[in-house]
Amino acid sequence: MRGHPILRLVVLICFLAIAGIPVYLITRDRPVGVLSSGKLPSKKIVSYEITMTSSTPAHLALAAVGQKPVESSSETESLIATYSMDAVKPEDLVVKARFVSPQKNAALRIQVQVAGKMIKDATLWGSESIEDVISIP
Amino acid sequence: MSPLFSVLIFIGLAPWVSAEPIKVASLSTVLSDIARNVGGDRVEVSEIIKPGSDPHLYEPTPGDIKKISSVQIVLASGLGFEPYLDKLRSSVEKSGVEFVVAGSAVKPIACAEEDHHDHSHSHDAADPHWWHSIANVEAVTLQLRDAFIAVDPDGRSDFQANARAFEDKLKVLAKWTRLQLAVLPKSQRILVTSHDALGYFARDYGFQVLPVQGISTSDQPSSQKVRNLIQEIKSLGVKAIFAENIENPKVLQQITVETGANLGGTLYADGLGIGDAGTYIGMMRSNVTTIVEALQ
Repeated sequence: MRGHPILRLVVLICFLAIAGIPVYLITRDRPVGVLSSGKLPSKKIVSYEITMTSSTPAHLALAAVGQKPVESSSETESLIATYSMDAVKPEDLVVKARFVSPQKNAALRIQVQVAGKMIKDATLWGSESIEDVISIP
Repeated sequence: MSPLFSVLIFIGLAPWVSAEPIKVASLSTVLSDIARNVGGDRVEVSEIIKPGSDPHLYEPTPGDIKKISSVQIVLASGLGFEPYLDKLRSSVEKSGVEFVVAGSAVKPIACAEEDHHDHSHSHDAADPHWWHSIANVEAVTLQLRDAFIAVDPDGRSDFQANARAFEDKLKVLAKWTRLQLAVLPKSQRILVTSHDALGYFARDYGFQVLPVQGISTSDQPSSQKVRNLIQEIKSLGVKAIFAENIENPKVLQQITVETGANLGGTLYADGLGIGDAGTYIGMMRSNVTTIVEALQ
């Protein structure tokens, strides 16, 4: 090969670079395609309006992971709270009611609305108290 | 002996004659526990599969077949959990043994699709680990109650009362489980386990399962699958991965080294353990406690 040694070196480097591009593209670390079961949850946040209604006066309490617990300061028949949670995977609600006058079939109704649309309506039954978890679909 | 005396002796012995327990052989430690709860003193359960053993690797021995031939009821999980079940059934056909297959009482879920491309095994497409859903165990409780009543109608009231009592315990367990898991954010409900046994639990409580092996403990993961799993554990920020009571946790330990996730403890995936995990309720409590402590 004739020509200036520097020029020959530049040509060789260019050739190696061009040849290396496909090798790099094939062997580079790529982010792993998350399995179909492992789709990252959407981070869209929406407001969930939660209404607890008791059939008789009770101390009511509501909690969810990452949300401020809400509790009635005295006996009441309803409690309303708004939680901002993920639109796709909202956290479970832990609901509690301690009835002032225990009776055989006291009821606690939990309604969850998003933008005025009812997405959950459940009723729990108890006598002295109720403590359970409500999953939001 | 006068006829009157004979009648009196017969009446006097009647309670003991009817109290002869139903002989049951169980191919599942979970079913053994349900049978004892529902059957009480009226049922005698022989455990063919013992707690702590791997039911995926079990094959009936001639001694087991002889034992099974001598019972009235055989309890099996079904849904392909016992690949030998059809052969066993034909082996003991002449003895008149009744097979009660729990899988027929539950609504099965499908195995993860990738499992069927990853290996060959004898399972059906359904996930056979139905007992990880408490609702399924309630259904099987009623199934065993009816099976026992069919063989021993005199025990109807006992079986009904026992089944109701066990259902009540299951309802308490279900509520306890919901309350325990409520502290885990949905984003952290990821179970990396030795094999794909917790699908029903995942469905009931909103978990995602990432198994190292397939639906059976005999399924071996490819190195590509392990590499993908390691990347996925890293990308999802999984805090802990779980071993199983019948497994060698060496592979999982290696994955923890590469991912930085902790080894979260031991889960009972294929049946009951020993000690506190020697009952269904104890096993579920142990699993839930282990999961919550590791992922919280």
